[in-house]
Amino acid sequence: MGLLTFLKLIQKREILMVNKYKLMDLNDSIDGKIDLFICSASFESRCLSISRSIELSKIRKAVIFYMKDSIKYINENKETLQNHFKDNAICVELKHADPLYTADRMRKALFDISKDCPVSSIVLDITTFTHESLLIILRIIPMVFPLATIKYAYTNAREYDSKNKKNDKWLSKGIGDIRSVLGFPGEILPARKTHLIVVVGYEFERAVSIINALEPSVLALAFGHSDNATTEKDKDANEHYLHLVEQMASSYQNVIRFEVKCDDPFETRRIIEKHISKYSDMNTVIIPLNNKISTLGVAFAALENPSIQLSYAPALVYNYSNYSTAGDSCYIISSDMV
Amino acid sequence: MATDNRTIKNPFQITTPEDLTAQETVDLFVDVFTDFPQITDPGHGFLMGPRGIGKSMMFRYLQSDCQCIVEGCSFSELSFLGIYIPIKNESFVKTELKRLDDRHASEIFNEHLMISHITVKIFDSLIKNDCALAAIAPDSLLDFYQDTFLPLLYPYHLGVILRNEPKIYDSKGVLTGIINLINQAYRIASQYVNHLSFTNTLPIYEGPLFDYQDFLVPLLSGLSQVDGFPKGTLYLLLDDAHFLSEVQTCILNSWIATRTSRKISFKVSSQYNYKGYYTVTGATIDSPHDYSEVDMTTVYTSALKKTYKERIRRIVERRLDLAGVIVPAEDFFPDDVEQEEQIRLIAEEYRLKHDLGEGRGFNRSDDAVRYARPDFIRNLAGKRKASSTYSYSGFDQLVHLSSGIVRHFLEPAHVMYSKEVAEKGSQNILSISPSIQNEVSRKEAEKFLFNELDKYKKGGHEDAIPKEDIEYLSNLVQGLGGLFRQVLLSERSERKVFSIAISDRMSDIVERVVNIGVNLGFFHYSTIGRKDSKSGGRTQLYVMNRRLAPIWNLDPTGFAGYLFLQNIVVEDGMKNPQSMLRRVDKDGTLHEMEYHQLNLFEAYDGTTDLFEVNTEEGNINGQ
Repeated sequence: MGLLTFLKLIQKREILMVNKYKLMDLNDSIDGKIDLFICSASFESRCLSISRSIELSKIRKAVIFYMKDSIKYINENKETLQNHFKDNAICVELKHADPLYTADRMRKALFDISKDCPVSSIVLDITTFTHESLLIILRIIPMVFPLATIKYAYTNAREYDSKNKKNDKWLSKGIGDIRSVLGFPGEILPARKTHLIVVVGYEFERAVSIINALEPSVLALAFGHSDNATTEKDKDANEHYLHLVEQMASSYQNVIRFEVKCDDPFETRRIIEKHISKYSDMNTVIIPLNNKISTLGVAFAALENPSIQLSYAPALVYNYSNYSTAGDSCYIISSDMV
Repeated sequence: MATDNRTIKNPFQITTPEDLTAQETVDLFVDVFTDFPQITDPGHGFLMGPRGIGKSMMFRYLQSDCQCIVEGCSFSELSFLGIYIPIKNESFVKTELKRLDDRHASEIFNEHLMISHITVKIFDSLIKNDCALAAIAPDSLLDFYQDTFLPLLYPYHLGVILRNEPKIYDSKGVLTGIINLINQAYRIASQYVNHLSFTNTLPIYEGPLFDYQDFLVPLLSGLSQVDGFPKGTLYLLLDDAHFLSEVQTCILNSWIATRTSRKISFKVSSQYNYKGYYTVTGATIDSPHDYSEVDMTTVYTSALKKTYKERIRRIVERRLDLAGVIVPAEDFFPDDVEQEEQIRLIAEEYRLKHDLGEGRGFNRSDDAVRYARPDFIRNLAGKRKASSTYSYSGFDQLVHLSSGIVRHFLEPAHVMYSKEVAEKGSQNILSISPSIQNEVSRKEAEKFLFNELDKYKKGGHEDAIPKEDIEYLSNLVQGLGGLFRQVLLSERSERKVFSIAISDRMSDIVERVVNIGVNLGFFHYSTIGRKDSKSGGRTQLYVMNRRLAPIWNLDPTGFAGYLFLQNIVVEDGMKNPQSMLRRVDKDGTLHEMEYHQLNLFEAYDGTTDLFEVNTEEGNINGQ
């Protein structure tokens, strides 16, 4: 056995795991204590699902983030979470309109906790963070807790916008200014052309507005294929909206289409990395609009390749009253070094 | 995983001008500079207009590689040197930069980023221009590199060694060396930006800091002395300046205020959300003192409307020609023959009435042109209850529907073409059927009104437009559409109307809501003489976007009239759109509003719009 082979064998290996559980079985699947549970209160009832499914005695400390801008829509769920965790939780206000404020508040909250108690295991419930705040906290957690193991939890939706037929489903509308996500500015060089990847979800109208505003030289639409959609009922809608995006973006001679996994962030990362490698001479900008698992995959790709810029276009309007109905399953995602 | 790369050959394909070759740009571009002489004249200038009106294409066309083809001359002989610099959101809108806001460093650092960006684009455009490479004398360029460029960089520790024995002797090599060094400086700044992500304490920046006066001006001054360079003014064509942040906008304004326009002229294109005219010192730049300004929408929806139609015709025919289809625009987008025949018959009746001395118009065809189409639409609505069968087809109607914006013609045309291909199962398309034209035009109108308004309507975040204002605007647009429809269907003799002016004082709320409508593209804005002309002065006129015409089955061609409304009418309409409809009786009597129209000569040919006319002379009371 050569030295190199031996060294490879003793090197730590990253074990990537994505497990799907029924929410009722989630508690049994979690071994040991969770030093820190992080979640985001939302107008969606899904924000309660995972925290309610884990025995309180397993959670040492919880952080509940919430968007001050939307407080009137989320206050009820925020209070429910607060009451659920009682004294074990702190609530931290964020602002959708101000990512710097959001990042600073997140960082301070986590630093304060790191000073108070050792944190070696974290569960991050990614379900109802906004795409932007999720990406920001994914940058902050390793800075504050570099040695902690992190499990990402996600509850699926039974259905999105269940009151509307598939052609009329919507989650959000309109876009404000498009901004880079804090912590993912990318390496954008002036002489390079723009390669835009939009990971398309239901929000086709936002996708179209973004494409029209950025006018990339190369446009790629990544979509979650129906065979791995996390919401059973919405396979058709998913495909329908992709079709609409294509139609709206008909100003592009070559629209590149590829599939990403909505239930496996590691596979999504691999697919995106493979795609991007063909455009290494361009500025790559990714806008994740699909579910949070695929957004996690996008983040993994961008953390691996800092030349990628992640961008975000805040919606002007959310379908507050009818965004989603909670499903009964959840995903636990982890990457352990062994 | 499936990958699908598809190429659609559609003559109405819209390609970002940045991605067009010089030859493609020249082939596709329809010269409009006679309409906008300020753009090609030396001096700073702003070119304002909504997305899709053709700003980027104009700038791309002015770039030196295109101009060499257009003028049929060498690079050295160009009368000006145009450098196209698209402002990209991803380059300039970095959230991290907000950490610098309200600190002095913000202006200095942002200026460095902007100058680095512009410098790279200048040299990158030269290296991609074969005409430039052929004309530039390599020895002279090398001298510039050694004597001007390197000394400017020397203080910044970029590994620059002055008076080093040159290792590069050809122009391409020198230009590449310049780009690499500036990219290096840009990267240092980018890395600093990355460090701003998660810190409240600003780290020390130790990289280069380029600025306009002490870096770019001497750099370009030196460049212009290189043998083979054009001796005319350098035009920096900054496209899409609305993407600049407030700080970056102030910096650009400060450059414009420096009066370097004889040597370096900034030509700045922007949508209407340009972030102000203040400089970094808090002073303002003013037109025409510091810069000239052209609003393309105003130009193309008023005095040069005929030119606009001709421009679209040339664009269409040029694109068809490139696709191997040699047909006139009118033949490619034919009218609905049956509909036009019926309108022709109505028009003939008017001509006969005129012959019998019963007409209102001065010329034989005046009434025919003015009333035949509205009569036809009214007849559809009346006996047959079939308004929605009115066909929005024919080149002329499509031009009117595009409302002065080229993209609003090309995008529907692209969809129409694709549908025609799908329907015929063939790529050999020589015309678009009227039914497809009509179907797409109606869908576009609905998409524009309902999608656009709906997305803002249901509330949002702190920085969104207030929900109530969007609600008011929605009511106002719907109310006015209904009102114009009501007027069209009434017994009035004058029924073409698509614009309003306020006859008394406009209240704050009306002004605010109507201006939101202008910003969102539902209205065009202009001015006309005040109703009380004796007091002189002008008042605002708001023309509804013609793309909306199909929603209410309105006649989009040659809108001849407008309504002077009292402020209270508009305010009521914002709260209750139905209230607008009650202002028009079936016999055409108008309440709390007056109808005004163009004089006949200017209204008839459909080539002028109402607000270029001295309306006082055509004042006909609605009663």
